[in-house]
Amino acid sequence: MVEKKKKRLSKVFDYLKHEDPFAKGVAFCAGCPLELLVRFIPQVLGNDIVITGTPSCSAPVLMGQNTGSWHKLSYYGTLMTGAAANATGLVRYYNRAGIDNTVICFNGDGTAADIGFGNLSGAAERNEPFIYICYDNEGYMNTGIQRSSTTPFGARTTTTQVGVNSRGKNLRRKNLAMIMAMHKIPYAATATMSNLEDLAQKLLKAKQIKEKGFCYLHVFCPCPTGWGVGPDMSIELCRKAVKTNYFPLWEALNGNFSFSKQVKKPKPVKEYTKLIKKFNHLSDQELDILQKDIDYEYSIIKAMTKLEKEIK
Amino acid sequence: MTSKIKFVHGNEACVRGALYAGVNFFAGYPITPSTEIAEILSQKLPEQGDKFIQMEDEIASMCAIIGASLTGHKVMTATSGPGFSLKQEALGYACMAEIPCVIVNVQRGGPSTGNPTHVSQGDVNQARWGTHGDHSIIALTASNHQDIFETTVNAFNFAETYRTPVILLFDETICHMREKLIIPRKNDIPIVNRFRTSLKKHVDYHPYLPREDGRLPMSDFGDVHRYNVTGLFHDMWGFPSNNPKIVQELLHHINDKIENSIHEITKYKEHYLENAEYILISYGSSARSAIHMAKNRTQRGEKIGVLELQSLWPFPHALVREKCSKAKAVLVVEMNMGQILNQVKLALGDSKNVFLANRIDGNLITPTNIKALLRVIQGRGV
Repeated sequence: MVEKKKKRLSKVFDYLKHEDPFAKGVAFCAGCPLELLVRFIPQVLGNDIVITGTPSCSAPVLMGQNTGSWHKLSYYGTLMTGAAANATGLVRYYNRAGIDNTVICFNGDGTAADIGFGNLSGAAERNEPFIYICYDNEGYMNTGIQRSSTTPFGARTTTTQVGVNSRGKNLRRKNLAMIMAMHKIPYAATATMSNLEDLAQKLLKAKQIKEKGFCYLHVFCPCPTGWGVGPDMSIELCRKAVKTNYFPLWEALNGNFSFSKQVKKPKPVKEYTKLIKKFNHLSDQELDILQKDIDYEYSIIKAMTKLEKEIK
Repeated sequence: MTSKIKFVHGNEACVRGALYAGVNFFAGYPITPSTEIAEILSQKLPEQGDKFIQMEDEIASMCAIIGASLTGHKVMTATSGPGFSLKQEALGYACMAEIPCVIVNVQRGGPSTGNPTHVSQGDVNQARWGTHGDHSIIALTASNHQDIFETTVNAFNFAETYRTPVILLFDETICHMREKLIIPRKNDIPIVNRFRTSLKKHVDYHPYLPREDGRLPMSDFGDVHRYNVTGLFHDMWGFPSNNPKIVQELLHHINDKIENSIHEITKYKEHYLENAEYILISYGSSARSAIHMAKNRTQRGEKIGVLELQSLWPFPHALVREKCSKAKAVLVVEMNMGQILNQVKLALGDSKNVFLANRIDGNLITPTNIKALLRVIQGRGV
């Protein structure tokens, strides 16, 4: 008899070297990729990390709010206005006392791009040695799906309604990852849940580089509840977002850009938006505007990657 | 056309009141439990061609409405405890620069992030003294949806009349509860519109020179008149001044215009108050339990009445003194650690017969809670 070869598990499991500190049955919405993300980070980086975060979608689980299902990590629930500043207080003390601790400031896009943007930028400018992870679900999902500044053009939310005088959000999204890279911090990167190996590598890189200063990770994290998609679709959305260049994966070391994954033949953004209810009112013209915006953002990153070679 | 009957939650009642009063600019930021106000207005305001903006934070939304108000709009923002704390600096600016605006604070448990989805009345003193410096403020509240509607309209009227920020202190329970609301016909409730100067272009306009009746006519900022607006102490042209006389006069003006009009501002309701031996003073959602208890006990022959306050600041000391002069005991029913109790004690002087019936655990105070305390006061055992 021929011996059956033991099937090798996907490479991503090589990165999961530590215990999952979360209990079973945590209080996320069905299909929320945020659960995958919060379980993934400590499994890659180890359980000896300090997480700080604000009232957000991850708060019910990370803060253990109204639920018995919790985790074993140290969690510091901060205010939305001062997330990065609170983390600064921690790392400055650790530095002074000579404690080697990885501080991860884990916030949503509302905190990172809107109310807490001032001190996020301040921490980046001061080059504080911690990792700031922004999980971008393109809105204030915890308070009931309101728009944020990372909400894309045309998206329907409860404060950018679709009706006679309003066609969803009529402004473009803020490219926060790019803005943070422009601070010329030691490490800035984008990642998503469909490319887990890439995410794991970026997390490990951030942990290493954070000794030198501020690290920023922007993780694209679809919201099945808020966007109007089935709970089985979240990873597929991440994949489509990468393949349409809606959310390109790149990293920037000290402001030097490089693609982590370059899509050879990007699909039109329509392939991605048609899967999501919040975009289903968009006309062809509006889709064109969105497509142009995405092409514009992509071309900037592309230009930045070439710029690095030119400087060299 | 007859009145419209709606079955809405308190946040929507507030929105309906604001639209009735003529709000045409809203800037806000999502925060539980007031988010519905922003959500509904994001639909209603663009429908009628007006402006809704979701700002990047609470400070920005407060500053945006101050700017919009200067240009002649009726403006509103809505928030809850933590957001209200952030707005305080800009609120003081609006007091100093005398800019009409309405701030809705749907109260939740505090301090800090506190108890976002539970009821509390802990922001009463913050509404009065949250921003720094001596100032006077108008704060109104309501215990049911019909009153929320009327109070919201009144808030806009007071803001325009006195050129001041007006705070609406609602409770989470009321604003997340559905109840009947009858929307009055147009003009059933009088509306105060912006009091604009009649001065023509090129005529010297003094933005901070009060008329004899104390009112200051406004000119839409950036329109025909050029003037200065500042948070510094300023003279009648709006230019900064540290002249002791001007500083003193301005501080007196921004306080007196409200404190001297306390009779016009004071709103209250009486329930079974005639010949009442025991008086419950309450407001907001806790007043509902107080009224329920008083109604039950009155039917059984006891003399228990409720004085329901609808304006908290400026506090109606004279009214409380008058209504409670013959009471054997006064019970302040509220959901904080005695913020209005202190004012009632101040009004009555004799604090031996003033008691606090409160609940601060995030749940609504029940008639049974009040009754239990009242029995002790009456000497009828526990």
